[in-house]
Amino acid sequence: MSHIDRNLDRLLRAAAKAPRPEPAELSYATQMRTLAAWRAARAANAEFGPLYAWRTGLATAFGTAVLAVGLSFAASRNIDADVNDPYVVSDPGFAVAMSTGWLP
Amino acid sequence: MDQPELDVEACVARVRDGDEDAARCLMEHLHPLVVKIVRAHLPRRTAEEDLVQAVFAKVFTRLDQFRGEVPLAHWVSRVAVNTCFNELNRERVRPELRHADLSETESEIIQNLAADTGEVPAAQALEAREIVEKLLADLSPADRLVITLLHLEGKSVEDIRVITGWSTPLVKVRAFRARQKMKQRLKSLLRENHP
Repeated sequence: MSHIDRNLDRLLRAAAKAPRPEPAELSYATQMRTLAAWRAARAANAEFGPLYAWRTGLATAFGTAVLAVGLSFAASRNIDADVNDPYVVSDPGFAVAMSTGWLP
Repeated sequence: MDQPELDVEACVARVRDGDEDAARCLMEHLHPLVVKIVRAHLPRRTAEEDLVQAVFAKVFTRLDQFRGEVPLAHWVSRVAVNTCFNELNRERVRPELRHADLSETESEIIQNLAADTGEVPAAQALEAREIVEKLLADLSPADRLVITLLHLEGKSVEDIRVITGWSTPLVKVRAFRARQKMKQRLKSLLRENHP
């Protein structure tokens, strides 16, 4: 161990032994400020939480509707596929899934 | 007179329901722990009470994330350390410590270290702490945090891993690098003292 290592250790050991002042009582002002901040955060959450959920739900419903319309349109185009083809996929939904790469 | 033991689990449940009396009880229960952590990692230009308040605000708003897998005190310690760490990150100016910045007693400690006269006397522990604080102020927040936890609070590498969320090798590497930097600073202080 080098000289500087020993010096640093001695300094750190002494610093670790330094007495710490006892924590003061939790002041009334800190308590009140914390509770007020918490109250404000809860109010903001209560205000924007349901709105956020409603918006998310609406966006999901819209996305699902667009997807469903797209799928049924694609399926209706494939329904008239060559009926003489022995390898034709009879289920239009399955065919769309195959063509879009959703299924391996 | 001793205060009756707080039923932490029930208190947490009440706080989650928005009970402010329970929040007040929980704050009083956790205050000594939070103050201890805040004092150990307090940035030089931040008021202790402001940081304590910031820690409690985070504890209450994130209480839903506490799943009870660890004791509440451990979880709160982690929140407090991370809050202090973020605050230290905001403190961008980290002035280099010069010998002229030291008080008379601090200078004497440095002289004794240079002369290699054994342990620093217990009566000078506070000044030694002040020198260490000044040396730490020069380091990055992560380096400062790891040295404080490891050397001043006597935490193990495993404890630090749990508190900070860093991996064990990262804690060790950071501790090593931080120590190297402190050694460099101390060396230049000693050189200034004995050119």
